Amino acid sequence: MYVSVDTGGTFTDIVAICSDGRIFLQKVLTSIDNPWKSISMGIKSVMDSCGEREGVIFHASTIATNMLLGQRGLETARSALLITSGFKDLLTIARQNRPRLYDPFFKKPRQLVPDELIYEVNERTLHSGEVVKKVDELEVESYLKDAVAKGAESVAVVFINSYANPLNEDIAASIASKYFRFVIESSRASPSPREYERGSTAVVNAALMPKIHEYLSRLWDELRDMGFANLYVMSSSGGLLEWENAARSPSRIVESGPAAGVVGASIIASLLGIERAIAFDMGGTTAKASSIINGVASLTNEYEVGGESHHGRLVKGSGYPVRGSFIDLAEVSAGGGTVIWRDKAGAIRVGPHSVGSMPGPMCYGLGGDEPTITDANVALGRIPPGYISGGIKLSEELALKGLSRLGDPSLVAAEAIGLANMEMARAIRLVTVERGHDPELFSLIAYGGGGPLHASGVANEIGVRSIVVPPFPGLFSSLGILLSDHIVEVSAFVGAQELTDVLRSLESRALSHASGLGSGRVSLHRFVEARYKGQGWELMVELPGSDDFSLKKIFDEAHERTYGYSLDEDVEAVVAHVIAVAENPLRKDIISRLSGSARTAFFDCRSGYTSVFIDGSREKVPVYCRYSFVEDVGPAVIIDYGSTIFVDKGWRAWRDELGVIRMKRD
Amino acid sequence: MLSYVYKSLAFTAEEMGVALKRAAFSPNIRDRMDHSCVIADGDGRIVAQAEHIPVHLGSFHVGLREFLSWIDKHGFGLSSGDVIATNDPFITGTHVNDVILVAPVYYGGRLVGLLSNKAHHVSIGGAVPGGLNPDARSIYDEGFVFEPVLIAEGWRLSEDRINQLAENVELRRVFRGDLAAQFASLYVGYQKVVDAISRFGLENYERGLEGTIDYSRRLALSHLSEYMKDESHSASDILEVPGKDIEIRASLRFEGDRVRVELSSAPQLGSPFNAVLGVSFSAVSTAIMFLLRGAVPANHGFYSVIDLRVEEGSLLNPYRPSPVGFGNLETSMRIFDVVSLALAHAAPNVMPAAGSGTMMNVVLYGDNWVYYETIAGGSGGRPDGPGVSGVHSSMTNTLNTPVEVIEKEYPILIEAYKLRRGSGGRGLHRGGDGVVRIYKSLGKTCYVVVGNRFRRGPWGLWGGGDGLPAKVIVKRKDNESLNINVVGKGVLESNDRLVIMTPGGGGWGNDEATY
Repeated sequence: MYVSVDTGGTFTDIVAICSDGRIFLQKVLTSIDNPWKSISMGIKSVMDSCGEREGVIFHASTIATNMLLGQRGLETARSALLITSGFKDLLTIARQNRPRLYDPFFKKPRQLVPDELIYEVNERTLHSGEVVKKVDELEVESYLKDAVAKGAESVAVVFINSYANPLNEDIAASIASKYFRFVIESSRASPSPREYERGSTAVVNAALMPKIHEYLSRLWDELRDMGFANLYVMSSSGGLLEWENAARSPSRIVESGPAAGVVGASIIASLLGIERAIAFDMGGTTAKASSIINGVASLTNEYEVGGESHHGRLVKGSGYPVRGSFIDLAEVSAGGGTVIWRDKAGAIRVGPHSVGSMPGPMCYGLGGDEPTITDANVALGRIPPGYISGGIKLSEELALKGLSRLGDPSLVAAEAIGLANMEMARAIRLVTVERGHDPELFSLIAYGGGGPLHASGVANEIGVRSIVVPPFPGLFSSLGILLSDHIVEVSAFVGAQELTDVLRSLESRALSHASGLGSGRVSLHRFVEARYKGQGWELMVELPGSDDFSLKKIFDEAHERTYGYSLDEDVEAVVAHVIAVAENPLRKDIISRLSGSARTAFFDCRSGYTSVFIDGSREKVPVYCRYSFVEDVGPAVIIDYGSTIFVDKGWRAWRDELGVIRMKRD
Repeated sequence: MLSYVYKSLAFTAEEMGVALKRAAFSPNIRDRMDHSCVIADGDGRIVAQAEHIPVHLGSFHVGLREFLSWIDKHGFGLSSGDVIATNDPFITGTHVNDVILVAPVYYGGRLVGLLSNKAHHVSIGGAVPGGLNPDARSIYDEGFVFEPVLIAEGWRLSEDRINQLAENVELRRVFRGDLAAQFASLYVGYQKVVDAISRFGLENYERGLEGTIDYSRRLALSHLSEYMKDESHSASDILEVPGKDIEIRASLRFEGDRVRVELSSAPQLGSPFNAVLGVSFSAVSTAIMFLLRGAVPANHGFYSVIDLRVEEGSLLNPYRPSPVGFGNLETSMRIFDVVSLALAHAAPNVMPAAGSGTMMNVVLYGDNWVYYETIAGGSGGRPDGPGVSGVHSSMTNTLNTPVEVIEKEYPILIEAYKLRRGSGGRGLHRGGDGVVRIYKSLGKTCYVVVGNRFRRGPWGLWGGGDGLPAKVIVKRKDNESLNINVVGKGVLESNDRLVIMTPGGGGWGNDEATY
């Protein structure tokens, strides 16, 4: 049996596929104090339904992000920092800029390590790697004893120029290991120059390690006792990590949850033969978009955890930079709970404030007093009256009450939805047009609670003509994990070495890891980050599989394509990457089982008609249940598990062989 | 549709900035992002900009207008695919180090927009590498000044032209690489803007621009009417120049459809503290934008609300070719402060006490290398809490150069980079602390330091204390030391140190319990 578990701040979604092909879904509240308990209880219940005692667990979790966002009950660890003398405030000064240019109330992110746990160590390495002052072991011991006395739980070691030579960091870290279970060196966390970003990566890991380790090891204890063979965790770049590796470098799982959905979408895209797809995930507070080309999600190496976003892109300096590979997500503040209001110039505005799940939108009737996007959908009839979401019957009356305060409720709701769609369209533009792709050639893969509801509106906004709504859109991230490949990425500095030599040694390393996962077919992909000698940032270019290539030629072409010119300058290779993709041998199996059970109704649904406000007037529109229709319909409302699909005017929808709903613009 | 046009352009401006940084050669641009990007309509009215460097951004409002009138006056015909460069401060609106590139956008044969960026070139020729020449008597002593010149046609970068320009500066490769990166930024922006026009349709696009400008104007006026009743708000502050203090006064009055701002100071100087009109406008508009808390799109609609009066031939609006190198670095900071103080009377719940009030510019150079950096200080205490430590607070927002980049690129060792604890002014809400940075010279190194707030620290507000003033010391290896006040220029021998201590922010409110 295969079980995937997607743990968010409020709910944990569990999808289990039994050996005989039956599928069970389970949604449980995430316990803040001991989440492993609530998860294992949920898993136990699906095991009982399956009647099985062994299997593999795949896990995605937002625990790391929520810790960094300061969620109550999930405080980060008390960490100590050993840093080169003279640089005590490196992480506070950060890059000396303010995150928002014109805001007199701007703030820098909360300090992760308190002043009393920062120790300046009298040591120094030069940029050449020469150690001019070796670490004094007695000095370091005295700091560590003090840190123990002050209740520190983990230690980060951040020395200037350690990327050039980690010797001093190694010495300090090995002493620290005598006092602390959790120790991380900056040169191991991220072996490249620019001390602030490297140091931040180390400190974020130190702050997360103790709790993430406790969380994963306790969860594993429970699961092992229940008979499971392995626990894999989804990484921020969309690969799977063995839980021990995730616990050792927890910064690699901060985008675990969203990555899972994108991975699922990329597999759906491959199965349907869609070359260019946009994964579009709309939840309660934010919407995320990511582009998938030829079945591969794009990645980024610039990331800040716990940061704010602006224009759908992270505001530099508002969070803690973490180095590593992350699925390139654009995120905007638009979700079901996003608040609708009027500004001083009289314009209707949407967000960025959101009501969250408690008290939630007004139509939930749980005390919410601000009209939201969900209220607007209810008011327009796009969510039919009496629809039940998460056990709550949505109230049309309450939705109308809030919107009436801002004007004619239908007009206000229609405008607000238009604005939210534009905002979300911008997230999509970021990952398509802004990366040089024409969105009209893309298909939208819509999931999350709100994705299928807004997909056709958003698609109209950006010129997309084709939409796919996968099975179980509300639980799609969980499914994504079950479908994921085993991806191993290894990289190394090229420096004075021969690029092809570095690539070959990386390839053998990647292969040994990949075969260790015991999977099917393995494919290798080579990349290099290169630049003109003198530039400070690299372009990532893909290299052919054979060693017969001219880096200068490949780079000149890439530079010309990106920036409109090439230069008569030498090209230097900075970092080489090899990615090994070991095909998930279970994937086909899972998909066929899923499609088989897709015909089963998991939910109450009644078809009929409802009145929907479209293009300025009310229209009578048919309501279908997801698995009970196949024909060509539209406009229509389709009730799904945990989500509603709205087929806008000008769109036709049908169900294809895989069990997914597809929509096309006329 | 309206806001969609605006948002797509605002994002394009950000992408233009990313391309500029990523393709650049100099640490000042690639690591510190000392550059800015804007998109304007065919008349040079700014529509969208990315949140880069305030002193650059506001100056485009004056700069693009000057650029177009120069083009007009010289019969310089623009064609699609042209890219023009200039660093004439009396056109660009800042100083000779800042090179602007401008590209026209044609659609259906008509000029429908301008794309522009501005980047600070550390190596710009002139008498002193780095361009910051304390002894300059005119702009020609500050660097190699070039009037608008075509550097690309049909979106093909002319290597000959950029090589010719590069012949006039110390670090040719770096200058050339940075200029090409500025081209990359416009190239990236051009494709996106043309794409936007074809998607929206020209008519919708232009309606979108007009609507965005109009919206900003209305929103700005609505916010301003709330804070500024029908009365004048005035303030004065001191700019320090070598040997004397110069008073700068501001008076603001809201007149329903505009804010009338009068700045007065002293006649223009024979030294580089003069600020061209673009800088003065930029500083005034940035302070007003702080009052609006950044809630209004910074475009022509917002800028057109500001009616700035400054006497010609004065420190804040000098005649050509007065030297202006420090105007946008230091004088701009003081104009911001004085306008900010006047606004504090109108909006005591919004405006903070003074921030460090200096960019604290450090130039170090030797054979075939030039390093330039501005160093952050403390921000002022605010109505809702303490100021922030170690941060750029008003007219600039450049990043620092990572210590590891400095040490790899230049013969310098950084011995300390930390907060100057206790330097923030006392008060109910303390000012943020300044920064201490110690450079150790590993060979013979020339230095230029230009700063301000050496004599009196940044002011506190409503009973809060002043922040500690700046302090800069040259410490010789034999322990002899030299204090620098406002401007310093000299030579560091091997193992000499340059110690920079930036001001703390002013405190906000009285911290004593006796009322």
